[in-house]
Amino acid sequence: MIIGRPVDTFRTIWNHRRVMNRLKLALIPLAGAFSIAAAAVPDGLDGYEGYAALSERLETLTGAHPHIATLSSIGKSFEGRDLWLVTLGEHAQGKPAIYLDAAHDGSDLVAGEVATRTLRYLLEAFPPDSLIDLLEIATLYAIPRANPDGVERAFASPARFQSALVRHMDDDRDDEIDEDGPNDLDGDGAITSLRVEDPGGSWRKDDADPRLMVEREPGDEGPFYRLYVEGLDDDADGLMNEDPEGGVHLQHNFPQGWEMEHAQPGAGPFAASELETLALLEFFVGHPEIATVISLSQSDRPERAGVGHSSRVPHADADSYGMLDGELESAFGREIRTDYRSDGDAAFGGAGQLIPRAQKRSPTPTAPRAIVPGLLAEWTYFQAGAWSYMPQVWVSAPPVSATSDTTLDSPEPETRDPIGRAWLEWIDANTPDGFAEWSPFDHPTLGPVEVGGFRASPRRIAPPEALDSLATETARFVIALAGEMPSLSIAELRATREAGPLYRLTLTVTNTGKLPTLSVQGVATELYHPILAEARLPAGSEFVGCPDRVKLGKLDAGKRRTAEWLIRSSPGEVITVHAWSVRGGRDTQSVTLGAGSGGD
Amino acid sequence: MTRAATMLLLLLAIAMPLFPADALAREEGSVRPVSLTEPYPYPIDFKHFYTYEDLTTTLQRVSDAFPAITHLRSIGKSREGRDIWMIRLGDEETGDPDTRPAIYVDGNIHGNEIQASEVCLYVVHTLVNRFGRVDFVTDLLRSRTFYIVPSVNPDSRAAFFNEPNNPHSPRRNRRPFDDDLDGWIDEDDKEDINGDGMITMMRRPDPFGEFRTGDDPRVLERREPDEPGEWSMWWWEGIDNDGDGQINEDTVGGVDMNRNFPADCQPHNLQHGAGPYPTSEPEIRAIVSFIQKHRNIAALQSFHNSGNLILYPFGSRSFENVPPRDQEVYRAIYQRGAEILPHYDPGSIMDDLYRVYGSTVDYGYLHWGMIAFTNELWDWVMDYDGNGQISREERLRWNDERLHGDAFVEWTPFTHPTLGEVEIGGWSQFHSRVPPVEFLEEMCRLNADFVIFHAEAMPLLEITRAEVERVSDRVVALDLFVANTGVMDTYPVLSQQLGVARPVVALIDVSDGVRVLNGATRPRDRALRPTTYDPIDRRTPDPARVEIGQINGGTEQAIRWLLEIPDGGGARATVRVRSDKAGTAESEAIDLDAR
Repeated sequence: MIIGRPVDTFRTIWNHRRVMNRLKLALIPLAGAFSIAAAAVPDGLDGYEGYAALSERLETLTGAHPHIATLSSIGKSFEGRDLWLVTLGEHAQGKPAIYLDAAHDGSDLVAGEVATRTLRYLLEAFPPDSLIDLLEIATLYAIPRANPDGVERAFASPARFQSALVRHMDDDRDDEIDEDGPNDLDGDGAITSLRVEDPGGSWRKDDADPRLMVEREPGDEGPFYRLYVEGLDDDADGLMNEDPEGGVHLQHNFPQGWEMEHAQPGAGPFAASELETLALLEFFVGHPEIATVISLSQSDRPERAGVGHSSRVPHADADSYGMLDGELESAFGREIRTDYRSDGDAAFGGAGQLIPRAQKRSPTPTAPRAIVPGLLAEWTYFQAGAWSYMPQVWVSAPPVSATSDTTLDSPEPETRDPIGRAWLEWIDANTPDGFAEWSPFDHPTLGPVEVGGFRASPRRIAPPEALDSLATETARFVIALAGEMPSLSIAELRATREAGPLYRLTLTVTNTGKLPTLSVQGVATELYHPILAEARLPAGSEFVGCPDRVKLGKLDAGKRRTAEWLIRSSPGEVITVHAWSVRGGRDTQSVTLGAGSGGD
Repeated sequence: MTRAATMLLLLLAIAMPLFPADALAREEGSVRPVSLTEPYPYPIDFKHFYTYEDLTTTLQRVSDAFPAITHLRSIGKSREGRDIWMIRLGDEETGDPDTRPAIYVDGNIHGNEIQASEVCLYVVHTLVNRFGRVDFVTDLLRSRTFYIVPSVNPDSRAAFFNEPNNPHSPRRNRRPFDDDLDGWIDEDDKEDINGDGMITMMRRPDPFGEFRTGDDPRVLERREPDEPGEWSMWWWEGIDNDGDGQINEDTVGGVDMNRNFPADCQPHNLQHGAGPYPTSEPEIRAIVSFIQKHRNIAALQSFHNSGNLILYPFGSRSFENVPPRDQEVYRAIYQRGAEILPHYDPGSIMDDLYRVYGSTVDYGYLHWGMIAFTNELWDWVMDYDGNGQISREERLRWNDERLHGDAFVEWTPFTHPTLGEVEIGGWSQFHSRVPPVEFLEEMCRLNADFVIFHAEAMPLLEITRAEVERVSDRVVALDLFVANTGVMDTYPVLSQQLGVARPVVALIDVSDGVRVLNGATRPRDRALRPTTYDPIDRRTPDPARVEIGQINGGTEQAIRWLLEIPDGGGARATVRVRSDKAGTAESEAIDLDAR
């Protein structure tokens, strides 16, 4: 017989399904209408913001929404730039968080810009009521620029697209630091290439387009060339450009699967050696509520776009990943690659290619090998148990099929580099500045050479008018992820009178969200506590042979678990029970003890 | 005597008179010969254990007393804000100690392993007091450098002295950590419930317990399946603070810092105590930063307790993975170590002890090419029955007869709040893993001797001779010979394989009018002297700079420069040979006009 009566029931986590339906409705009419006027930016990078503009932008953005957004810094870069963190919503115990970052690779200008614009979309274009609903489900942490020093090089002159952190590193280990980087010899504001005619060279001009340099093959006829990055032998050691600025790649410096420099160039002197790496790791250690990670990047090498392999996660997590992939795919309207192989069973990705960063843990305690050593998104899954994705927001690749389709009787000579050829055609048609015509130059050590070749910008920069739609897609992704969050709630709390002053308190918790309250990998890390339930008794009541706090493991979606306490109390007393998890939600309920006799 | 040791002595016999530092000292007369019968100028006491404060004061006083050969600095702060002291030993008057071959020595990374700090202090004590009195020590501090961090874990050292503990606690640092994942942090620590100032063990009579009484009634042995149980046992004294039915399952502290180094590291669930990520602890970050800035460190010793072991890499892989040449170098040093340290057994950490990811030793050897050892200090040597094993009964007999019972707390009845009637007793805090204080100095002295031998084995460059030969009217050939007089190679083979090693480089500086035509290494043997005078087989951008590569311990290399000399004589050259780990050797002015 149930004699307890639930009182004062309150839920801290919304009813997901209803909220998500509203969010989706809110999104549809706005997706096409979202537009942000291009900000004033220096040096022709229209639509892209340098560090100063970014800082100002984030201050304005968060200042305009003081109740929702806060701006803080999680640390400084090597050159003293703030690693900005925008927090949307407030964290409460048990409430999951979504983490978004971009531009670990400093040349990922598009990814960095899309991250900022995603925040702008959510704050400026998304209906405020819907945003509040979303932030009730999950806090959003965004670090739009993880490598601000590297990104800033694109705004310098000559503009450089610098992947690595700028921390000084003696690449050629001659005790001089960053003393032999590339030089802009022809003063065109870009670093291109040098070609030197040499009968022993391993390059030649392409038959189809002599501007294009292709690799020499046996039987080829000359002239042949040697190719160099535009520069000088600044330190007179016989090598050119062997110690450029920077040297440690943030995307290879995290401790998961980290490899030493001989195996992974750019890995740095040790895992977590860099200030930026350290700041991000400390942020994760301090925020165990982060349930999902979205680390935005981009690629100009379609064949390299995919490195993830979700079939290698532990079996139970693979199911959840599979469910997530499906849901995200329909929200995103694009294919999500969960089993991508770099030998190219896939067509070129285009914007929105998503690669779950996931890989199997070795069953024995030997180093679990990451496919790409030292990625943050590898670390966050394997060592923090967060569902981690690395969307390639922008894969810049021209349409190759049109030009590579050469038939045998075609009068046009065949190209050996269809991708390069396609790039050239695209550049000729759209942005002639993207290629520097070969022009003679008298080099101090190489003698007469020619300077020319591709400028990096077309491959790294998306047209500014594309950025808003990329941001809208990324915001959809975030919104869809929020809909997948776990949600721990109390399904039932009963108090039955057993005998005299002895009561049995029965709690049933359930997960009304879609993901488990913690991933299997999250449990395996042994760092995060299971669901905990604690009964709080009024003065004069006491537990009979049981602790006040119990552990309830993890809960998959829709599953239930029960806990019981025996207490000595009296009728009319109110007992409150709290149930909470690290990142899977929380709930509280109270029950008033009845006066009726006997159990059921 | 081993082959390596013989070789070393031979080398020293040859090399000694040539030490430039030695010659300098004699010329300047800066060191007054003092008889060893005179008392030490600054004796350090080894009749007690040093608290952190005592350690700090002692280091400060030593560095004040010997300003020319010591340099004390704090390389960082511990989690609770204590300074991590590093004392450098090396003569500053004859050069920059940071450019000489150096040994890094630390201890007490595990808070309870306190005597490691006293061993470090003994290295300081014996070297500073003998400098200027014993030629060997004077030469040592003029040719090599010691970086000594006596306590890597000062917080837990302080806790060991200030709070009741047992011989095994506190091992980790003081990072708050929820060991039992119940949402409370460090809430179920051990307690000195019987108020005797120590944490010992608890036992309760229990016919279904896992333990039985041994031959000595104070001893508990794990029972065989067919033996009846007598006792249930709790390794640490304490109560169930959080009411979860377990005792002492979430003690204070969280990271085993000898698992927090960034070499072959694994996460917490695969390597217990590893911490959230490598170098997450300020103490380890400080050491890693220090080591990164000191490429001159060629050797490493990290003292632990206990077991009388001389341990070498790897912690995470088999010694079989060490390249054969490096194995020979390790063997040469640990075999001599086993002679210096009676009753100490050499062994590889993983092969002979257990597997450790992210250790000091692996970091030193794998990342930086240091020949690295970790000695496990102290074991009881009281094998009464001569069977090669030291049983608990033999230890107790030694405790009774030699220590008058000081090392063992007799089992005494106690009423435990939840276990009921129990007995509390066992090995006392300052015994078993730590030597009785009467044995401290001997242990320190022998281990300091091993450190000194280890330091002496480091690579050291020396220009052995220079020969000038006239090739034509205007051209001379300069043959320069450079030796590594140490036992270790200028870089271990492992570092060469991993691309960590940098070559030894020779640079020639010539007087006005002399032109360096080319320079290259050449066969050392006179019989192989080239018949042509063009030994160049590759483009050298700067012929004055010759990369020699690596020079193995106890070997010599030759370099030849072809130099065009001006008319009128007076042509001179000096050569400087520099390396990361073997120091720098500089020739005197070489007369190029000869012959």
